[in-house]
Amino acid sequence: MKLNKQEVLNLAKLAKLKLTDQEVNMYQQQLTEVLGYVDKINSLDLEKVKESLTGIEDSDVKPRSDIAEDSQPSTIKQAAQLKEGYVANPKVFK
Amino acid sequence: MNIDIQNLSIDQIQQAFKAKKFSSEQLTKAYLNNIKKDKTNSFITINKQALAEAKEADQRIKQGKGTVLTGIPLAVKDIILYEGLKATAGSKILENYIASYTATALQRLKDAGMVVIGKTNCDEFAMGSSNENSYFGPVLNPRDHSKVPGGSSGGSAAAVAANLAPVALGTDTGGSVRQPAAFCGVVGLKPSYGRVSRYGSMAMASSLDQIAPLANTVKDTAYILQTMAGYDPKDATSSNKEVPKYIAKKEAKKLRLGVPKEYFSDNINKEVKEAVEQQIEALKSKGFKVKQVSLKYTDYALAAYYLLMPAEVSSNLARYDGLLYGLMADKKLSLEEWYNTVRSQGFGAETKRRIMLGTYILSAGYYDAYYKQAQKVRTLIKQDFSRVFKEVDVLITPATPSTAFALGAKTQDPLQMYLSDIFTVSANIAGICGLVLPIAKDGNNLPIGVQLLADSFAEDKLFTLGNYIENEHRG
Repeated sequence: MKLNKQEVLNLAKLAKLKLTDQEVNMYQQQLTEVLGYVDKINSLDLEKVKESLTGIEDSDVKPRSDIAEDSQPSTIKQAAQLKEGYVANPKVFK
Repeated sequence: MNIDIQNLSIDQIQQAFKAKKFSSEQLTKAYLNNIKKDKTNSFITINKQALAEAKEADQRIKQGKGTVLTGIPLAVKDIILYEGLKATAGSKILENYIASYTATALQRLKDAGMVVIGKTNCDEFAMGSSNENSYFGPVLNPRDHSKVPGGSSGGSAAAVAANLAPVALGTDTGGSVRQPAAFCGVVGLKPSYGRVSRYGSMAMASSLDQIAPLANTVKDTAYILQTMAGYDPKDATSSNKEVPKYIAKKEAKKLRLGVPKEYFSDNINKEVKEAVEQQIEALKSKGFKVKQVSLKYTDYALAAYYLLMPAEVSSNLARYDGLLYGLMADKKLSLEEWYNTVRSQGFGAETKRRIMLGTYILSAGYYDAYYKQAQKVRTLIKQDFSRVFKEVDVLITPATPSTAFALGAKTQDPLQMYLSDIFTVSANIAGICGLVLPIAKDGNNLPIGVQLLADSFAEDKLFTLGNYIENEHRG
């Protein structure tokens, strides 16, 4: 699995990262190497195996009931821009 | 006042409090003085309230309301929130972020009277095996300053090893407490998944993360777990299984021990392998029943880990967008430019690498080939352990394939760095618990650790065997 430069740039775009040319070269080589290593799981016959998403499917753990609870306003106190108690973000449309 | 704070255990400190040899305030002062002189870069932030907290603890002890943890100083990995104190996660993106609440696990320790001495250095967002990925600079191994302390909880392990705190909290997602414990020669416990609330610990890979203690003795990690463990409504993945009494004395020799042959290949350092083999022989000669077992998917665990973990990382770290907290950009920028600027300037190289890796693994064309396959391997690894834990109680393995390596040795080669987690990741994938403790030193006087693994929620077995091994080495 060899990644080309364009694929690295596409990934960066999806991940909201701006890369320098040097970073693109570095990640192209390093990600290719890591993907080459992890690909070894594809040598296993996994067709009949069930996936484990959380690792705790068989436990007593479950989400709380979906009932609204008070949130903590203090968690947004450090927001970049607060307007009338709301978090404001930069313009989306010009 | 001169206090000898070399390798203090919680029991020793409590005895000293009782005998009025020193107070929590005096003890805390002694650690703070050590931190001032220290060259390992273990701390990012010192808690200015530490002495006030210690005085409060002294009052509580005087009133006879103390617990076994009251007045004990604690170092906390900078990925765990403590209200009012900076929480950087070792990242530039959170350089000035101040925690707006306290993690549940830490709150329970605070309620028991512990004194937070400061926040420790770590790999950025807990991603690394050498503590060289911190925006605040690498941590040096206290046993040899030219070596890494391990990671990602390198500052917490080094703080205990360098006598900057008697106990510390780290987090363990793939070995981030056990590997640095081995490299620094201290004890590190990774609790079973769900045993300790993750609320207030910044999420790296939510299905793998656990808050985990480091200390000078096995018993101390048991004391800490005893207080932090248990259900928390704020963490939907925390278990409501009852927390047993961990300090109770149990007969170690009743434990059936297993040696998984896949952990003893020729690829590991000879001195490490021999030290662990000698440990196993010593236990046999004391009358322990030891059986060879096989965990046949061991060889695939690291590959599965480096698929599952980055996938979760890329999702979890999407929250760092500079809008709610952390690094900000020029307000005139468009939203897209704002995101790109904040994240490109705020994240370090390893974080970007894992975000992109995860983005790739979760992308439409590759999800089935990678992520889904890794989830299936997770099932196989879990089944491997369940089968083996029907035959034995505790597995004994090396903690790491080598002792602490040189600073800079693996920074240019991520894959080599990832391979240093090879013996620790399986426990996180399967959700079981693990304990690492020092058993020997190599030719360069660097610590060698042994890893004990037990089934989910069987921490008591780790403590029983860990205690036994520790006492044998003390003679």
